[in-house]
Amino acid sequence: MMKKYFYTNGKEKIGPFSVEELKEQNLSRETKVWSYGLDNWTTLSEIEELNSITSSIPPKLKVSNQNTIEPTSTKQKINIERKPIKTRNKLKRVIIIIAISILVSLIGIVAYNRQQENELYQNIVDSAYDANTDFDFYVKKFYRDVEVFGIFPKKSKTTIIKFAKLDQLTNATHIHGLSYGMNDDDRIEIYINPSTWESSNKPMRYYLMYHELSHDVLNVDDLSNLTVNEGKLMFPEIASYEAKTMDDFIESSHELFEEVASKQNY
Amino acid sequence: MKIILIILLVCFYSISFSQTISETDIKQLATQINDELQGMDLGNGIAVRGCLAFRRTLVYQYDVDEYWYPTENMKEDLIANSKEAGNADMFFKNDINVDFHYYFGNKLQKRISVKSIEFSNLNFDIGDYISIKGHPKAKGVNLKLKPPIGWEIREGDRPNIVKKFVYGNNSYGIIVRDNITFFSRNEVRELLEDEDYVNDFITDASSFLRNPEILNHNIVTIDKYPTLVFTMKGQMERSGIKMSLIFKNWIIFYEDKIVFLQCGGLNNKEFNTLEGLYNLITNSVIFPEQYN
Repeated sequence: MMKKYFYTNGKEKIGPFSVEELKEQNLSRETKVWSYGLDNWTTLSEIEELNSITSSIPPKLKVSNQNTIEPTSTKQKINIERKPIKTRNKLKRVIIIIAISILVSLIGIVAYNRQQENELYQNIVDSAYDANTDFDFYVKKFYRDVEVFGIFPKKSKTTIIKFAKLDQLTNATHIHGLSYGMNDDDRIEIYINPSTWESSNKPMRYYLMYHELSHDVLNVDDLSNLTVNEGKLMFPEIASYEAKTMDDFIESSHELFEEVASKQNY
Repeated sequence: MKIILIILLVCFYSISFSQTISETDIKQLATQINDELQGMDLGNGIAVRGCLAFRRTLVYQYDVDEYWYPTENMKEDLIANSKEAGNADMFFKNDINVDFHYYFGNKLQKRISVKSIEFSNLNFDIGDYISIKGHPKAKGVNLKLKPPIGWEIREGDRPNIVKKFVYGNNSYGIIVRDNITFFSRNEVRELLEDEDYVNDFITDASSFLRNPEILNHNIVTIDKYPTLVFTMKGQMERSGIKMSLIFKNWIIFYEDKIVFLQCGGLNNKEFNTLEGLYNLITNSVIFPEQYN
């Protein structure tokens, strides 16, 4: 009687096969094989009678996995220990921990910044006081001018424009004005640095007020601090505008209003 | 000399004061004076030889004796006496020049020529700068200019009239109105290149006159600000009295304001005479803020 062989793929027993049939299977030199007469599952390369099969299979170039298959005598129980899976799980855990740490850090930073902003806002509000300057004069002109360009923003219900001691803020460079009513169409809230105001000429004051009102009413952001933007109304460094004329102010405001009108996304 | 002027006055009452008389009228006036005064002894060795007219000039001719000699300020005296007598205004308003010729025998001893404008009581000089800065009607416009000497400086009696310089029926007013928005000087220059816009603007500005007629218009610059200047005439009725008026206007587009410098009055010789003065006042205009 021809001897029959079984082999295992690690999960189940496959066979029986004759030697010739076994050759047809996709075996490796490490494949565990068993036949009647063998006590345990034995590596193919260790079974002499199957040398003809072993020699026809090229050896592995690099072996990184080692599996142990231990069949029992009464019941074929296969315990497979997979070291790579353990490594992957560890890696996953590390990644998750790092991600959570980053997330927590970001939330912390955001919360810290928000707290800082709230403290800054509170400092500004605490130092704010009514000016004897008629800021409403600028607000009326601003609404008048944007309407000429076909922009009809919602009229704010609340208008707060005050002087605030922006020079005394910590961790801040010299601030000429701040707008807190951006994206709130019902509210204009602007704080002006009194020292800037006092030292500014007429064009500079118009630049400052229209700059802050454009933030507040038209929801327009500052431009980037690039030379190409110098002279424009939303250029953030308007301290350099001391030599500007009313003509410069008028043309820069018209340029912005034309741009906003063309987008109509205020 | 005074007696000559007093006699002349008698003759002038027959002349209409309402409008400039023609050269024919002046000739008739000369004939009338001749009929009334020829041969009259005026004293001080002076007798009236006659009066004739050459275009718009009346020529008084006198015979003087050998003892007569011209005084040092004879012309000024003649003008002053004419003003005192009240007829200088008629010479001025009717554009009549007057020559005085003094003969000893057939020899012309002295000739004095007085242009009609020299009979005017108007002062053609401008004074020191005044400013409208902070004026409640100036709407924030800071403007300085030199008013004419001898003219009354009044506050405007209407909402947009800031100040007025007044002399008789003539006035020079500073009016400030709001524009729809800000305009830079470059934007105004572009705007004033549009002939339709300019014509519409002038038509609108002259609409307070009946049968308005635009005599001229031009684009000029006043203290670096582009300006529309035009002269218009037309009729106006006040309290049932119809008047023929003439005005010169300078329209200065200043930031978000329009500054009107409007001068004129009754459409007579005075306007032409005063136009130079109006130009002087306007040329003195300064907008100081641009130099800060």
